[in-house]
Amino acid sequence: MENQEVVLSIDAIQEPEQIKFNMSLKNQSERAIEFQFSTGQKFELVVYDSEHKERYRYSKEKMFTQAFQNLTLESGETYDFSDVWKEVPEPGTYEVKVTFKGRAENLKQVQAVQQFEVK
Amino acid sequence: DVNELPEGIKVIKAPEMWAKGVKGKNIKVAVLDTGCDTSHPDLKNQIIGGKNFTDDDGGKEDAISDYNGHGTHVAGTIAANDSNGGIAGVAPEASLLIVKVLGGENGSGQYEWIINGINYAVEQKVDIISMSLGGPSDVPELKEAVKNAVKNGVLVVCAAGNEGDGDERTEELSYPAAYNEVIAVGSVSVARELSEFSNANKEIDLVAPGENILSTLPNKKYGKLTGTSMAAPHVSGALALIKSYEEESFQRKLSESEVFAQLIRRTLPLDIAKTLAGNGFLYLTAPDELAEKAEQSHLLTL
Repeated sequence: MENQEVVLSIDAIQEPEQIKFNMSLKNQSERAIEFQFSTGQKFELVVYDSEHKERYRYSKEKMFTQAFQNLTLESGETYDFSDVWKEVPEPGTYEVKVTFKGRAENLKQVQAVQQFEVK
Repeated sequence: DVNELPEGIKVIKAPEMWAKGVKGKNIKVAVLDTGCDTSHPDLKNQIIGGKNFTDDDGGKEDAISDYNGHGTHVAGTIAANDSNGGIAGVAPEASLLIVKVLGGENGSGQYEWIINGINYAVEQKVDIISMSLGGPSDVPELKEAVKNAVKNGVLVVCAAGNEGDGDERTEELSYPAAYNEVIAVGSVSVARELSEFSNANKEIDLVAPGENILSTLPNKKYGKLTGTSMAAPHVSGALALIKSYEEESFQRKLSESEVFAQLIRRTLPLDIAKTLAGNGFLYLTAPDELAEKAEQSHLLTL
């Protein structure tokens, strides 16, 4: 099964004192997909600067429940989630990489990479 | 069919301790989690208080609602009481202090909230801190808070973490479980088979049931959850039973390390690497069975 059946998109929005990331996971396949998470962590989000230095990581200094959770995404359904980097770095080009932590049978781990500009 | 004894409670031999009149009375357990449904009929009489350290409900200190369900489930495994017709936890007469350190629907928390929660539990003079949570970062302030709790005689129990791959040779570290000072609990099935997801490392102390565990959920409900999060509260409840039983037997207070020794005395060795299962499976009647066995062989050799 190819990963285009599930598509993850990222939207980075610069606000006065923070960068907001809106993510959307869409099931473009014809069937329902059941994802399983091994902890309360639904995703990982990392921001790199133009020298590929890590500048922000969602899970850093965060704790999560250690119980399994399930999420079923029906055909055509979308799952939205978001994160806020409570800082605005110096102007330039950045890269944000999001990994969806839900695992589904016959499906590669869902990831997306997006570049964005900080003005 | 709600009025049943959860399988995990049965296989760790908690009912045999209850039969001796040991139910965890006067032992205070702090549950550092997503909050709790304090009106659940199986829990409401066990809860002695609580405090919110998250930003849920605008950070209101006395708002300890559980928006995830995880904390209510964990609290139930430790000290649910079936006198209202529901289910029983390991120590049905222990007292619960609800310390909300994980927020939102997903159940996540900042290290600062967890550190504040640990310090609060120590101030409240609890006997046991139960943490069904973990994070990737090793932070000195977190370690300091854990060490301070232990120094004050508090037993600190943590879920080992769910990043395991079933391989004893590869290490998965989750904090605070990976600190030597805490009692790190891995997961097995009720049939004592290792859970593949259970973290492996050199600090695992013991294992307890963590698969398909029945316990309380918000809104008077019940349900089954899986994870090292479910294994840890079996040990927290067991410690409540052990501490009250042994302090009564010895007729004195026991130190944190003495209670830990009593806990390990009540485990069953497993044929699983120590990096995965530590000292083995939580088995509250281990000394009794050993005594019985020794008595039998003594009679045979006489």
